[in-house]
Amino acid sequence: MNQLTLAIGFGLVTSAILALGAVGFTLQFGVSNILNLAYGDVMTVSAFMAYLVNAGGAGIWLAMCAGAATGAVVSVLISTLIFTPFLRRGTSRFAMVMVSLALAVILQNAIQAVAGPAFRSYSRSQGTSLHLLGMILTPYQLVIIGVAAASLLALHLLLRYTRIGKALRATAADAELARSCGIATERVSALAWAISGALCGLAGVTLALNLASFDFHFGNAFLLVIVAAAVFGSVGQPYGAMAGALVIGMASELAAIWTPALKQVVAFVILAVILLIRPAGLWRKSFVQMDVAAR
Amino acid sequence: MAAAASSAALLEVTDLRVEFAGVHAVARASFAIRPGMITGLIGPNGAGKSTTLKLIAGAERPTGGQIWYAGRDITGHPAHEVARQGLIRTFQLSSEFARLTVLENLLVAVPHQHGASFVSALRGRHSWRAEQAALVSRGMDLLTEFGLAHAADQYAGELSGGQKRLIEIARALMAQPRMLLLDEPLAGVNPRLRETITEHLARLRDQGLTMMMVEHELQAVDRCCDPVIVMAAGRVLAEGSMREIRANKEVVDAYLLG
Amino acid sequence: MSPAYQYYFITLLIFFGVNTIACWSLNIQYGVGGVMNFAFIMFQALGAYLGGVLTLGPSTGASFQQYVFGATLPFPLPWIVAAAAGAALAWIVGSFALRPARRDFQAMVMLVVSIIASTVVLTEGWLFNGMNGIAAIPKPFQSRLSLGEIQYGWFYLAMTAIVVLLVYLLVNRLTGSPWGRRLRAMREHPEALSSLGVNIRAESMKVYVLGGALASLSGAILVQFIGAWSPGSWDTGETFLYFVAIIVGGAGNNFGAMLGAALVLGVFEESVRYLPSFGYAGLAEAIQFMLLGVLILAFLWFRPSGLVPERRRRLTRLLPAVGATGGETQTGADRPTAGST
Repeated sequence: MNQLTLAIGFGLVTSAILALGAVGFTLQFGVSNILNLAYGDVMTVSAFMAYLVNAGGAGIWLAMCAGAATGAVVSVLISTLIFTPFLRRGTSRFAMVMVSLALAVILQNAIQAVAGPAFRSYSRSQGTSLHLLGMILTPYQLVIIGVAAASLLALHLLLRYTRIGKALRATAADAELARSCGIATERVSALAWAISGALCGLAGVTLALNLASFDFHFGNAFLLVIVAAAVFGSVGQPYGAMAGALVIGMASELAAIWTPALKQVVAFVILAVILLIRPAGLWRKSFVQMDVAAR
Repeated sequence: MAAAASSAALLEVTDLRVEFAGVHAVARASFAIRPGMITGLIGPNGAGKSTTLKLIAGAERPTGGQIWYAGRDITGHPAHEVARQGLIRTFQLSSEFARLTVLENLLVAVPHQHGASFVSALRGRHSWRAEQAALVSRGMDLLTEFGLAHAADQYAGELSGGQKRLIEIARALMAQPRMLLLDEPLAGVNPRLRETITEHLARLRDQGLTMMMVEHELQAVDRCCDPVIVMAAGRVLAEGSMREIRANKEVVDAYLLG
Repeated sequence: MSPAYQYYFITLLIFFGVNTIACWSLNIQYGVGGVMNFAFIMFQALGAYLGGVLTLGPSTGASFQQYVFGATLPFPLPWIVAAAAGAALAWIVGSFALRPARRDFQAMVMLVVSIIASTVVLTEGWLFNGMNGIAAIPKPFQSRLSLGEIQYGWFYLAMTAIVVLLVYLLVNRLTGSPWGRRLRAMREHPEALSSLGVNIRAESMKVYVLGGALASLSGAILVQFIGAWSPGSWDTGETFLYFVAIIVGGAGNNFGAMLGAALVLGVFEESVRYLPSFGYAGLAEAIQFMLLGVLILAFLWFRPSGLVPERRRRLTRLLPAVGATGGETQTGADRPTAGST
């Protein structure tokens, strides 16, 4: 019983981090139709930037803002400097995944070259853990859950109720149509990359915060779980990604009760099963809606 | 149910419907296509014409309704299975195999070639060389008819838009179709080439090929299609000759408003 | 040439042979068939592990390494079993990874599978001895032949060369056939090919399984010469390396793939060895991979067809000779009519 409630507590934290990451990833895909394999490494860059800020004396909140900002800036940069030019040059969507992989390799090795192989951790003050309903959550874990909940709520409100949000959804649904309706799709796209990049950055910082220490490749390692959550909830669907994050986050922590090794395997098994029985994910009936000339 | 027509119909669609994200792209469409004719499918933008073709060809799955072709129920069958029964579709957007030559584009469409499966390819060149030479001859004849013999060894991706259209039709013909589903074959094609294409299509019809053609170019539809089906907002509005269609008030309204 | 240089030279050539087979495998999957196998290195690793454990003999409790499937199979069985296992693994992975219609999606799933595989092998030491990997793998025929080290090296090189030749004959035959043409069409526009009656998923699976077998074979050949294999030999960067080799050399062209193996996997990789050591361990490698990333972007931008582009197949050569006199014997059918564009 005790182990179960503990695991549920951890599951909430993991789901929170995963939700930030998966929603960002899926948003990027939704608007650009590109599977950005460099996403994990942008998380790492953001976490390192937050670390620098933190090492410079700032508190965790400021470090988180730095991380989010870094994620946003880097994402917009890679979109405008790399992805868009390649697309304009006529590279097919299919070949873009190779471009994003190259980018991931460059980023990851650049981080390694600059930061070195040493593990880092954020300097933080010890606080008292919260004991609630059989779960034990450190103050930082509570912060993570809070930040995730607040960010996703803000995103939801943005998508639903603001003009920008509507423009985002329209561009995601049909870019051609959106452009012909007068929506400045380039600007909307940049905004989408900024927002999803911010989520990516937050995911990186919260993940680093939750681990005892992190190195240059921790973000890339988490990418596989993010992909599993995004695919589970249908890539491109933010609410699906949230659901996927909850399911996979919980499942992996619960599986860890048996063996810690099972944690990552769970995400993979869910991914394989979803692809076997419902490849388009839970939120869609078929691939048709997203397969616009994706050669 | 069009009882009288169904015995003669090559393709029959009943209550076909499909929806995406709550929108009914096709909502209860029913019609029958008789063999040996070019049936036009027209309508304002967003009427569901292309979607209907895709549903028939198996490129998308309907959420309801039935599709009968050559006496068989092909509803929900995958695209390659439908194509193997002689129902071939062309695409709205250019779909040539860009880094294959024009002749290769044509040859890859021919079914039942020796050496075209993994196992038969292992047998080596002598088992398929002769057949390939014969197919190349056939392909060249077709290209000559379309006036593209000079481009036989050019990469298909290097051709002009109009030439690509021709190649796609030629390619579809190499697949030995019994019925062609043409999705805007004249889109983006210059007027003189349009005439050439419609002449070809008329000739093919006279030779017994059945066709269904989605088009916006109403002059061309007038020239070669009879009967014509009109769709709007996912439904079939009317069916008949071009003259009858033009006189139909509902159709006129749909075009003005849609 | 001193013995040390000779041995180094032989080793380079064997690596070249192995990498050529590996590049042909990836080439037929990606360059010809358009299947972006981001799990490539996993297949080579499987072949290497199996090639090792199938010659090491059963894992005893006392030995310093633990693994599954231990046996002492006579040559060439380890190679054959490795290839078969590669095919089987490809079939399993392909059954769900090839389900999505979008190929970038497929690639992403394969990448995930590869990462998971390396994590599992690393943490579950009972599989293939975890982090330390397997070692002390006996070389085939070595005890029986009692050759000196260099002579044995030449012998192994000869065996490798024979396999390279056989694989070349196979791959060349397949890519030049109508099936090869079908694969290339699938690469260009799978939906259009599907509308012409070809089952895309089945054909993708076939080329994936074939590539899987060849990749595993290359791993088995390599491991029986170098004698050891560990997770360090197959992290996901290696898959990337092979893709760089193919794209730089020329995707879709067997000679291009071989050239890529020589240039990228040979020259570029080895050149790091000659640089003076600087910084901390791993820094040189990190910079090397960064350069590779930039290299692949440069090629994708400036020369996506690679150094040796895919051959153009001039099918008109198959037509009966028109006649040396210049075609007057032909009917008007050969000349473009007035309606031509």
